[in-house]
Amino acid sequence: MKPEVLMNLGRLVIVLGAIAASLLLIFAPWQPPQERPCTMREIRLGLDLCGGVTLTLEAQIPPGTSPEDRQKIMDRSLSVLETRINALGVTEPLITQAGDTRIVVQLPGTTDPEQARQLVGSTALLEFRKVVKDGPPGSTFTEEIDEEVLMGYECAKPELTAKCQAYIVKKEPLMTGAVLSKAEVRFNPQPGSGLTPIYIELTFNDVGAHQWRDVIIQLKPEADRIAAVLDRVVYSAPTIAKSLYDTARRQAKVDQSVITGNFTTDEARLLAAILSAGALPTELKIIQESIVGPSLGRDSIEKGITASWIAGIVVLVFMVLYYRLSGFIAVFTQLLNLLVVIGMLAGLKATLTLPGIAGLILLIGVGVDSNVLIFERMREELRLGKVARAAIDAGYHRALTTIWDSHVTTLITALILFIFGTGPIRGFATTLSLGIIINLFTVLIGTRLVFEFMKMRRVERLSI
Amino acid sequence: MKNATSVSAPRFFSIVPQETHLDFMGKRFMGVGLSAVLVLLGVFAFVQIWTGNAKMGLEFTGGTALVVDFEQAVPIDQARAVLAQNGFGDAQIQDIKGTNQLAIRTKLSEEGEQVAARLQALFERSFRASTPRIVSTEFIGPTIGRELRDKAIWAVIFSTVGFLIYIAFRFDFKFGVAAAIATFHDVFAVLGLSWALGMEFTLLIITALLTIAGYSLTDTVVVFDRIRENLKKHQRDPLLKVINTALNQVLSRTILTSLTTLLAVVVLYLLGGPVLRDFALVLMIGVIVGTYSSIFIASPILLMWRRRGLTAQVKQ
Repeated sequence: MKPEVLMNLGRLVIVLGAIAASLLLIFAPWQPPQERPCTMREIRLGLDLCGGVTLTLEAQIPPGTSPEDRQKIMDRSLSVLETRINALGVTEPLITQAGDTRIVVQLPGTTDPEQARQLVGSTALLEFRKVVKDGPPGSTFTEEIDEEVLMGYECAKPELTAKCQAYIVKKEPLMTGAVLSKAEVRFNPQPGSGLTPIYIELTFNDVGAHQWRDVIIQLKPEADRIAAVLDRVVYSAPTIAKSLYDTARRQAKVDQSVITGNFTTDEARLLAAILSAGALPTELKIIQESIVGPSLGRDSIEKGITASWIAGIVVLVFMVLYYRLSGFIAVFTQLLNLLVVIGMLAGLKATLTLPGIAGLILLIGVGVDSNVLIFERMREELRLGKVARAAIDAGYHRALTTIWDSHVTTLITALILFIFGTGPIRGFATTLSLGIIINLFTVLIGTRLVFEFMKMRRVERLSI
Repeated sequence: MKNATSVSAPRFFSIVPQETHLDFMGKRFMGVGLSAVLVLLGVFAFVQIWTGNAKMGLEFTGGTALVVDFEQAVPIDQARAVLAQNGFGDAQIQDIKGTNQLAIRTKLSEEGEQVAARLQALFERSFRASTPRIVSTEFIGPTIGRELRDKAIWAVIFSTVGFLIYIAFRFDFKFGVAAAIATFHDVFAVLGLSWALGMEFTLLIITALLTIAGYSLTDTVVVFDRIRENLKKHQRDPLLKVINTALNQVLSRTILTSLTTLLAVVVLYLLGGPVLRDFALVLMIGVIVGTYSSIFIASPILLMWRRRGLTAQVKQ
């Protein structure tokens, strides 16, 4: 075979291979069909397209902490958050460290921002403290130096303010939640047993069970009250039942306790999730929060897809009208380009955002430039009286430097946006840079292939 | 007969006449006045942004933004009154056209991220009859705001440096200077026009401006490549003629690419939804200005240098 034919065969293989690979990556037929949130086929969608909560948290780590200790705190925080979020059953959450002291949490499909805030915002420091006195809020309390006033959890709930209580409690906790092994939501069908309809059952580990027993026996049954305090809010403050006291006296350990309260099921589940995962080693402050409702996300993706189709069709119809048969080559090149870009997005597990879709649309407009450059040069060569074959070669050759230039300039912008961009902007940079690189490939190989084919068929006239 | 057909020049469908001989360079001074106004506007807008007097996006100022959708439209004054009564007197409130949605934006306060929750609760309580639904909320804390501002500034600086390095590498000195001036001209012109249109400067708008810088540079490069090619071929022609010929030769490419890009961006503007509208508008302005500048700004600057210097540079 002539080297020329071999080259074209190579080009054909590359183009067909790229098409096949992209289709496989996008549709992934080997994957079991399942509904996953925030994915379209195999393409991961940004939360601006599928709705959800994005939070950026900053760990409040004291200055002077060594980098190793800091990273330990971060690792622990990440795993606590992960446990909490998984316990709540959020599908495909994304919890990542960003920079030295930041954590980005993405919860697709979550519609309750308040729940998300509590999920990550509460340090979940559980303490059991002795109650000195309680009363309605606003009562004038006189607390001793080793005591302080904490509010009941009902006080923050508008519908429960009637039950709001303030408590004077000892500053020094009797015990902390570090010894907890699990916390579960329980439902109590029979009222009147001292338990609320929904309560949380705590199970202590071995150390905790011993500690809990020691705490109980130093209290006066049916008189002393012990408050379950989570993040400085009192959840419940029951007295110690006589039966519990007696059990504790007989045994070496008591491994269970309960937190009662006027919880809804959701609140109790959240609380149990937070308690089970354990306390965060540090406070995490929300420094950025973005919530996109599901309707806005759906609206954005629908508009984005419609706009892409229409932009594509308008530009391509224009190209065909203008360059006739050669216009179809441009159409083919751009379709190939889009297909491979989307395939790459799926393959690289990159996230498609709304600005990313805008990048694709922009690409349709800019991408044909390479074809226009080639076609215009070919027309010039034809005007000079060259035959089709010569015009193809000369046109291609002459346009090449300019094509390189136009790609490099766009790539500079795209790469800088990729480095400095965050969130959705990075999505724009991703599609733009991928698109520009792949466009070079489709023009140099795809467009070339079609023209080479025409040369081999010995076309006399170019439809351009 | 057969012979005659093969000799006749091929004709192509074209918007631009087959062989144009437009005297762009003769009209070069027309552009100067317009560009001066545009660039001045841009510099003014830049100063406004720098001093914090321009409308800046939430990501730079920090604060809370919330979009609420109502089943029954709520008059904006009523919403404003409710907000004022509940301590949100300085909240900005905007009617989103064509929908029953209101956009509320508050400045950064001590309460930080709690503001969104309070606003949400307030709307749910006060307008229960109109069935409010939160479309989106966004909270940007002070550290993030400062950081994103710094990042945007660095992105602009690095792009500028990147372009200058590319230009220095790609072109000889005089072409390089002309290309750089044309690119800066475009960015400032688009910045000025966006400011004059009352646009809010968000990260997305900065992104559009940087994209435009790249687009405009490409356009200039295409023209300059042709001028250099012609300088080598037609050593005896006056510079003005060489540039004019080059501009005419690339005219149909310039117009065609601008048109296809413009078509895509216009579709984005019309159908892309509210989030992308301003972004698309900046790109639209940018494509037009970028095309104009490579003809009426970049090339005339080249003319300022004497022909001999340019030819000598090209030959090297």
